[in-house]
Amino acid sequence: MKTKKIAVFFLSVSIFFMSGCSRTVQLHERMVIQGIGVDLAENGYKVTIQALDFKNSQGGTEPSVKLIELKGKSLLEALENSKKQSGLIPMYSQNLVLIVGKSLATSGMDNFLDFFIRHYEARPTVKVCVSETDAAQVLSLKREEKNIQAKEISDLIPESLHSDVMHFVGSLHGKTSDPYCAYLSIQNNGKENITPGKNQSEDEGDNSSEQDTKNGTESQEENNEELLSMTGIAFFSGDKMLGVETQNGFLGALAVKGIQGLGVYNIHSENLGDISLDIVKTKSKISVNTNEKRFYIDIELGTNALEVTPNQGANIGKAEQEQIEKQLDDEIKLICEQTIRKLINLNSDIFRFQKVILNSDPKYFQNHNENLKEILKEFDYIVNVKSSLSITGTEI
Amino acid sequence: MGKRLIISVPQMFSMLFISRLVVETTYSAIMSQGNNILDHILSAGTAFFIVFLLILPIYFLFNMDNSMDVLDNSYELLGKTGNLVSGLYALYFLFTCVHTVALFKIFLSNVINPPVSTEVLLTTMVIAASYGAYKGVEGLARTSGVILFFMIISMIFIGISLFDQIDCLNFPPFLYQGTQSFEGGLMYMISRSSCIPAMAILFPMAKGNLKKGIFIWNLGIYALISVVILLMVGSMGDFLQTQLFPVYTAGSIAKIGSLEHLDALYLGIWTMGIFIKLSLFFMLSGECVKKFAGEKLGRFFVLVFGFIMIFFGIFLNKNAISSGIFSSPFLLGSMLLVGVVVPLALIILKKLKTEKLSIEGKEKQ
Repeated sequence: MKTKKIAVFFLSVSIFFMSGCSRTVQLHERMVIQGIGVDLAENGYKVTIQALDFKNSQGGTEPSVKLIELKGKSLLEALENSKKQSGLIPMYSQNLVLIVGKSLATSGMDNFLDFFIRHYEARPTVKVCVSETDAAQVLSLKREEKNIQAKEISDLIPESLHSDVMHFVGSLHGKTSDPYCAYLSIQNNGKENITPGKNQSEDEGDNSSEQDTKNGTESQEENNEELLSMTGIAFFSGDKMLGVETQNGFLGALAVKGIQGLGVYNIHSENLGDISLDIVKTKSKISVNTNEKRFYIDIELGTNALEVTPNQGANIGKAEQEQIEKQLDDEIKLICEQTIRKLINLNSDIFRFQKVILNSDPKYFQNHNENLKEILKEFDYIVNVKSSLSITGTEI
Repeated sequence: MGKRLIISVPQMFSMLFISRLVVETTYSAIMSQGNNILDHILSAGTAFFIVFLLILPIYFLFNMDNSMDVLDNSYELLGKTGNLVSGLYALYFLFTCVHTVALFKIFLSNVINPPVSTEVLLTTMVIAASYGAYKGVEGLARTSGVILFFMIISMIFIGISLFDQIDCLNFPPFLYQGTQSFEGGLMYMISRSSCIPAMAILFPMAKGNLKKGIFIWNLGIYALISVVILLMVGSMGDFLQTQLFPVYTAGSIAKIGSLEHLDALYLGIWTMGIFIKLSLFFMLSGECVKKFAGEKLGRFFVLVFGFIMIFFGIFLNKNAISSGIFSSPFLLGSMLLVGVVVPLALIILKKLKTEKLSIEGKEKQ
């Protein structure tokens, strides 16, 4: 009986403290952040937020999308200012993408990334990208007279690229590799677009309808509208962006990292003609021999020939298929070797070569830990590409 | 002194399994002071054998008379001085409760940061745990079975979804940075083995094959920890070193098809586990108090213990979870005292007493 009295006492007392229901923040009081753009500003950061505003919904079933520009000495200060500006409580758990302006990326990203690690609502799967222009410009881009949505920007970046907070911060924190992320550019509709895996000469001859990549890395727009597309990857040394790999460099970087979805690669054979190959499968394995100072990068490609324009009288048989595979192997090998050498010479280890050394020869790693990036420049990088081509249908 | 066998061995170990798991799944490189969390797989392998050794005194004491727990033995051997032993155990179990409440508080404030104050949530949890403890060991054991089932299902679910994201390059070689991380992990795992002293009270209540239960429980715990570490390191790499609760973060990146944000699943299961652990140790502390204070005064003490838990929950610094009285050396020392030293001393006393009685018997003959 006494226990029951005690239980009743506890329950009665608890009623006075249970303020959970009354203090719950309703959805219309929230600013559901979908995308965050960060740019460098005088004395701090300029932050652009794209958020769903349920409070000021303009009729319709969908909430209105709101763009807010904020400034602060730190990212948190700028973000907190959004409360004062909108009267809504920001909610970061639905954020899909973090866009960093190129000027900020080159000056260093470590200072503000901390927010995305520590904040309880921040998710490690948020996509990270660098924009050629200001991030604010990307978020305020119009599509059919409406603001481009953060979801569309996020969809431009394939998940297999691992261009997210988790991988970016992991590379930055681990000290055995350098981060990289997707690189976004804004182009006019009529202007030349860049697709990974296309040679410069081929790009020049392409028309806009052929420029869509398999991943859908472009937003198709109406006449004279600006297009947002993922044109490559931004590579870093530490937290500072060093440069961008586009076109073949982009393709080479993806192939070395074994990232799926390389897109279309065109090859031209003197005796066969033009063949468009869709690289559907990529597998990469990196090993090292520290005694010989050599890295071995074995890349396997699975390709489909979906568009063949053969020379007069040419017929694609087994021998020709092998010839195409050989040519593809040689071209991709060259591209990969050039990309690796370029990035290593620029002091960027996005391919995790240091990690490979750590895993296979920890003693060597520890002995050379201080200047391993410099030592990487002395290594040879042997790339072996093995492709398997499948041709469907016959030539016209 | 005879005790009613009220729960089965699997039920007892499901309670203890949950109690271990809720603590073990909150560890991180930050909390265990290690750089290479993969080394903790070696720590888990070593801890697996050490825990067996640490259980031995309690097991042998129980085997000498399987109707008596450690408190009954102390009263039989030490008379009224046995009150000290009961008090010591009561304090240890209360201390474990406070540690669990502190863990819950740091988790709430760092990971969830709910709109409701953490103090209200902590008070609610303690009230719920008090009710669980009041329902007794049978009720807790039955609840544990259900919670364990959901726990395993959700672990499998999260595990499968993370398996796909494993990158073999994320696995560094074992011990390449020395043994510091291994030692930190081992210390963390052993020092938080509060289940060992709990066995000293629970063994006489359980019927079934104890040896088999201990083996499966210990193997299950450390196998699960090893798998969790493998999945975490493989999928998150160096990122997990930035996380205070990496297992929770692993849950947040796990996804199967369109099912994302599985951290909510982890959160629910973990909170249920915290409830079981708090209830169990609250009940055990109450049992110990009743031994020396009697049934009526014992209940009053249980009430006081509840207030102590709430008090500590509210006023404890949320950063104090791995320092001061919650530092690994202190936790290890207190666990060894009640889990090993006291049972060992009682075994020696019991042996001496038996020998003395047999000598006296021989002299009489």
